[in-house]
Amino acid sequence: MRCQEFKELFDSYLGDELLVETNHEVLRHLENCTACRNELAARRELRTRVRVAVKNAPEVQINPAFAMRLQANLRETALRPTFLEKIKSNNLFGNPAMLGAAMCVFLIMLGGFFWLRNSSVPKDVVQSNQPDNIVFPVKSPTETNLMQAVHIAWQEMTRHAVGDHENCALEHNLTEEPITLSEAAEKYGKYNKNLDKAVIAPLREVFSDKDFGKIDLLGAHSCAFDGRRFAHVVLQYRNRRISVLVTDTDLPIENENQVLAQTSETMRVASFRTAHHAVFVVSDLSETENMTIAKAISPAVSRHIEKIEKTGA
Amino acid sequence: MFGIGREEREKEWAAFEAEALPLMPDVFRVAKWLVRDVSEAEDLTQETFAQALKSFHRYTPDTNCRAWLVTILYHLNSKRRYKLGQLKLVEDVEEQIAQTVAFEPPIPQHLTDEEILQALERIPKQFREVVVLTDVEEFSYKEVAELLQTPIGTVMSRLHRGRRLLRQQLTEYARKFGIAAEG
Repeated sequence: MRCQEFKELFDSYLGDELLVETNHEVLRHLENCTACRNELAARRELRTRVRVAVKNAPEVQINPAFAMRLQANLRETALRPTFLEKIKSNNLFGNPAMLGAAMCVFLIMLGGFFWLRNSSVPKDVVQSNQPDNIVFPVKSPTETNLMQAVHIAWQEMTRHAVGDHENCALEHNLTEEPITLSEAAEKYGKYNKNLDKAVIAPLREVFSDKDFGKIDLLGAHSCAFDGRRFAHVVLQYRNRRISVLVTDTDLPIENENQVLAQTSETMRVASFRTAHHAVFVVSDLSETENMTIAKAISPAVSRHIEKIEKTGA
Repeated sequence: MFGIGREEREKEWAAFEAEALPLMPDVFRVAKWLVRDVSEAEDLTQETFAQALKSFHRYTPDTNCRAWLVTILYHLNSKRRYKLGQLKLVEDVEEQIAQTVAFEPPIPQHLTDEEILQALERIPKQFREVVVLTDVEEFSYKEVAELLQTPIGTVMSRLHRGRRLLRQQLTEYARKFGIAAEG
């Protein structure tokens, strides 16, 4: 294969669209041609850069509140009993008055159905008080060693947060007994005091909408998992437990003022930072629901912690 | 989804929740690139998932759910555009553009994500669409051809030209702002 022939196959090779035989010919050519190897590497790099840029672009990120509302609507549609099921369960055909009422309901539902079909979901209801974008970070190819070290330390801290959620909020399996937030405020930092109030207040606003359902505060304390101490607020939503965990850290801040979705094998994790603390929201809700909770509490919790960080009061 | 018992409905919803719902951010991203407007992209995403839920019995589990959803999205978008009278035959400017891009410019280094996005925005829609679907969303040529209802050869030539135009835009940008290019 000559360079010119290979140039015609560049795109298909990059897209893994070549036949096995042709692929072998390309590989043989690449082994012996530095120019084509360099050109291929440059094209591959550009493709990666474009992918990273587009996937990270704030304007193409879905609004979590919109996603959550849509999910709730879909769930309701999917699980709604059929009209025939309702008739069957109420034995409406046996009672003429009930049959008449059922027909009226049917006609109203039919009208409502056409009305709904012709109008979009009132997104403005769920979009209020919500930030517009959410960023799922894609690893940069030029990440330095220092950034990698920070990344590893951050992953370790995330692992501790997930471990604390699993062993404290779900299993009550900690080796050390938790202490109250007031006690922790004396020993480990004043931000512990009233942290539960800073967490629950904004959630009460967002989750007052009947479509979202209610969110409850189950408890708050200070606990330690695997040597790392957390201020821990436990919430309940749709019968699932959610942990808001705050811990001390002096790792550099990579994404200031951003709530980030993180990967964990077992749980959904969203996190945000202040100058000297990291806040994690851990649950087994959907990523969108977990992220919505993190975004809702982020301003108030950051303000609560930063006030202590700045004044020490 | 309709006309079945509660147990089956719950089972189908669980499958839909596991396979389709996690792809909502991806579907929205494609919708946003397609229609440009956030509100319109949300409407389109919503319609796509409502339609997918209705037709979920036709989806074969563990196949490419993302491609299936994006196919629905493209189909609904065509219908919307047809209703709005926006469905026009696109003038085939490919050859014309291809003639103006006769060289392979080197790829400049040290460009930011924002600059790359701006360059992508500047290339004509039919090329940008194919670059986004293949290079960003990683659909195969066959899938893109089905989505766009266009021959696979057209997808390949649009991708080739789209990538080349993108390089040209980036090189021009780099030249303008004095960013070094390799090559």
